[in-house]
Amino acid sequence: MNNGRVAVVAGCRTPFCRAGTALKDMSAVDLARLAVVELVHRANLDGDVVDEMYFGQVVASPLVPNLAREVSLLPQFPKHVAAASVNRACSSANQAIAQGHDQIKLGHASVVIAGGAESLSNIPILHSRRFSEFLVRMSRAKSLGQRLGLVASLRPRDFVPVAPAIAEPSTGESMGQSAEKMAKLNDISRDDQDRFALRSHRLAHAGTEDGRITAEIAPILGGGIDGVITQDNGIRQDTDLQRLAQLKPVFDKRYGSVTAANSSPLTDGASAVLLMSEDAARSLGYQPLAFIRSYAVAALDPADQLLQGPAYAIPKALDRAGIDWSELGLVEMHEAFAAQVLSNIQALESRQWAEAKLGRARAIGDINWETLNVMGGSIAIGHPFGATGGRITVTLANEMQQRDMQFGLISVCAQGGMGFAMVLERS
Amino acid sequence: MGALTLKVLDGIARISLDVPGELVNTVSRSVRAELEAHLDTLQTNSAIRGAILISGKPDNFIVGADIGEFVSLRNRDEALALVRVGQQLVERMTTVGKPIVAAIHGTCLGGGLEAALACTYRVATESPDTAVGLPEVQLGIIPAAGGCQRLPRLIGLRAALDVILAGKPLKAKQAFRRGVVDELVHPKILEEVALGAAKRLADGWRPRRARGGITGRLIENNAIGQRLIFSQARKAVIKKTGGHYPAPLAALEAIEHGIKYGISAGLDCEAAHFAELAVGDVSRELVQIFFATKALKKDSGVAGDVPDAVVVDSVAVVGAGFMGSAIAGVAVAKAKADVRLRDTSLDAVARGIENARTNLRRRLKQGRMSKYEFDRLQALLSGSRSNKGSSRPSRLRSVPSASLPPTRARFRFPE
Repeated sequence: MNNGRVAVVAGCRTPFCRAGTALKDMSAVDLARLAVVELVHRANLDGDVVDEMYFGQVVASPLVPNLAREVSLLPQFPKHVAAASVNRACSSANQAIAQGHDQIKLGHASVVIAGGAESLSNIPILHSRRFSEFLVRMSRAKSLGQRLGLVASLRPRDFVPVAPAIAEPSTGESMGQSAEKMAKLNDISRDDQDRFALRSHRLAHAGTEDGRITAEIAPILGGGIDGVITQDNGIRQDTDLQRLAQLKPVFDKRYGSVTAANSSPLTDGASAVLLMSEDAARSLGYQPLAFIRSYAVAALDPADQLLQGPAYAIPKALDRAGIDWSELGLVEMHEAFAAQVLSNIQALESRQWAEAKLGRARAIGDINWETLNVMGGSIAIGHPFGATGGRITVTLANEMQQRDMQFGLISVCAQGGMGFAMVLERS
Repeated sequence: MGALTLKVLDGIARISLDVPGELVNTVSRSVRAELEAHLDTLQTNSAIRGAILISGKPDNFIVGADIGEFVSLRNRDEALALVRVGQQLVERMTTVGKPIVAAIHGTCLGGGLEAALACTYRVATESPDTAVGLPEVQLGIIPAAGGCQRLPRLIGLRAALDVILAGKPLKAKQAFRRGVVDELVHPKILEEVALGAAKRLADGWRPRRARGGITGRLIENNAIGQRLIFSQARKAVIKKTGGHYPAPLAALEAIEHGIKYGISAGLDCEAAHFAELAVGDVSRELVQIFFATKALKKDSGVAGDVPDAVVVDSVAVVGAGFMGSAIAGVAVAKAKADVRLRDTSLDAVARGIENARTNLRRRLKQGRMSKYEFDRLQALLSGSRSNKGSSRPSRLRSVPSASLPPTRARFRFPE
C-alpha cells in the first residue's frame, strides 16, 4: 500500500473535432498516440519510468479491442508497459484515471498514463446477423452444392449493415430520448437549455481566445491530415439565442426541447493524463497540478432518469473526500445535454430531492455559476465518449492551479444510468 | 579446416557450409572441390538416401560466387573455364540420383540461389534476414550456373524475367509467393523440416507445383506467347537502360535460347555470354562501383581515430526546413531517436514532419520497413513552435542545453 496521495502531474489532449470532419481519417489509436507523445514531450517524461497505462474507449474497433496496449507500444516506452482499455461509457477516461489511481494507491505502480480516445468517424459497421451466419456457414460448407444452397438463401435485406446505436441496450431508449424525457419530467425549458448551450459556447470561445484551452491541446501536424489543427472545431463564437431557438427538436419533433445545439455533438478526439505517486513526483522532480482526493461511482435504473447519475455520485465523492459542497472552488460537469446538466443541478440544489432520494435533510449544495464549467463544456467543445473524462480532469487541474483553488469537482453522466464524480485537491 | 561438413542423420546427409574465418559463405575453388567430394559420397554411399544443404552462418546461406576469383579473370578463356566448372558442379547436384533439399536462412544470392535451384526442394525461413535473388546483372554479368535455365522452368517465364533482369533480391514472402521456394518456416524448425522433406522425397514423394495460373500457362506454354513476352521484355530493358548495359539483354538471350533449344544449349549460351561480359569494360566498372560502395558503407566519415559511438535516443532539431527535416527523418529511421522539431510556425513544423515522414514512407514502400515498424517510428516525429511565442512554456523548453544528459543531441538550423 502507498500511503501518499496520487498526483495529477500533467495532461493534454488532441483537438476535439466533430465526427466526419478534420480528424475523420485518424483512428482512435492514432489520436491517443498523438496525445501521449505530446504529453511525453511537454512533461519531459522519460518513458522508462512509466509502469502502466489505462485508456477509455466506448466504441472500440473489433480489430483493436485493446487500444491502450497499442498506445503503450509507442517507441517512447519500453515494451513491458502493460496496458488495459476500460469502458464505463462516457466516463471511461475517468474510469481509466481512477484505475491508475487505484494501482498507485495499492503500490502496484508509481507512474501511470491514463486517458481515453474515441473516433466516432470510425465506428465499426456490422453485417446483419443473417449475413454473419451466412459467412460462418460458408466457411464450414463442404461441397459446391452446399455453398450454392447457402448463396441462394440470401435475401437483399441481409446485406443491410448494422451501425451501433447510442441507445440503452436494456431499454432501447436513446440518449437523446432520455434527455428529452428528463427535460419534461424536471420542467427544463427550451429557453434554459439554449441559454446553457450558449454559455458553453461563449466560455469555450473565451478560453480558446485567451489560450487557456489551446494550451491543453496537442496540435495535429500532418499525418494524413491537411494542414495544422490546433483548436476544437465545434465551438461557435457567432451563435446567439435567436439562432438557437430556430432549431427543430430532434428527439420529439412536436413537443420536444432537445436540439442539436443544446446537445453535445458526436466528436473525435483523445486525451491523456500523467499520474504519479506523490513520492515518485517528488523524486522525479515534478510539481503536481493537483492530487486526487476521492472518487465515486453511482448507478441507477436506466428506465428511470437515465442521466441523473452525477447527482448521486457527487455526494458520495464529497463524503469520501470528507468535504462539503460549499468548499468546492471549481466544478466541471460533463455536458451531454443541457437538459441533463440542468436536471443534475436541479437535483443537487433541491432539499426535497436529497430527502427523497438520499435520505438527507439538506440539499447537496447550490451552484455557483461563476465557478461551473469556466471554459465551457462538452456541448461546445465536443464529446469523444472515451476521451472526455481526460479533458475535464486536465482542465480542472489547470484551472485550480491558475485560480489557486483548494478543491475542485468533476462529474460525468454515463450510459446505463451511471454517474462518476471525482474530487481534486491542491497541497 | 574445410568449409563443408557432412554428417549423416537417419539416412539423410546434412551438408553444412561454413566458410572458416568469413562472415559470409561464398563459393570459391576450394568450396567447389569439397562439395564435389561430398556429392560423390552422396552418390556412392548406399546408406545415404538424400541430403540437405544448409549454412552454418547465422544470417546467410550463400551470398554468391567468390568475387575475388571473378575479378582476377584475365581473359575470355579463363572466364569460360570458370563458368563451365560452376555449371558442371551445379549440374552434378541434379544427377546424383538422390534428392537434395536446400535449407535457406538469410541471404541466398547468385551462385547460392543457382545451387538451391538445382536442389530438388527448397525450404526457406520466414525471417526478415532471408532474401533470395540473382543480382548478377547489377555487376554487369548474368547468372551462368544454370540460373537462366532453371528459374524460368520453376516459376514461369515472366516471373523469372522480373527476378533476373532487375537483379533485385526477393524477401522470403515474395520468394514463396512466386514459387522460388517451396515452403516458408520458422528458423527454429528449418533443419527439421528440410530433413523431413528429404526423407519424404527419398520415399518417392513428388511435390506438386502449380505456377502462373491458367492464363499464365496459356500465354507462356506456346511459342507465340513466349515470343511476345521476350519482345516486350527486350523493349522494356532497352528503354530502361538506354542500351548502355549489355548484361540484361544477354540474360534475355540466354533464357530465350534455353527455352527454344533446351537446357544444355541454354547453358552453352549462358557460358558464352558470361565469358564475354565478365572481362568486359562495363562489368569491370560496375564491380569497381560495388567495391567502392562497400568501402563507403564501412567508412565512419571521421578522419583519424574513430570515437566510440554514442547512443542518441532523443534529438531536438531547431529549424524544420530542408536540412532539419532530413536530419529528423534519418534520426528516426536509423537511430530510432525521439525527434522534436522546432520552428517559428506550426505550419513549418508540420511541413518538416511530413518531409521526414516521406523518408520513412519510402522505406515502407521499398519493403525495407514493416507497416508495424512504420507506425511505431512515425510516432517518434513530433514538434512545436520555438520558445518564442508559445503560450505555455513546457518543461522541455526550460531545460538548459548544458544540463541535458549526454544521450540527447541538439541540432540548430536557423532559417
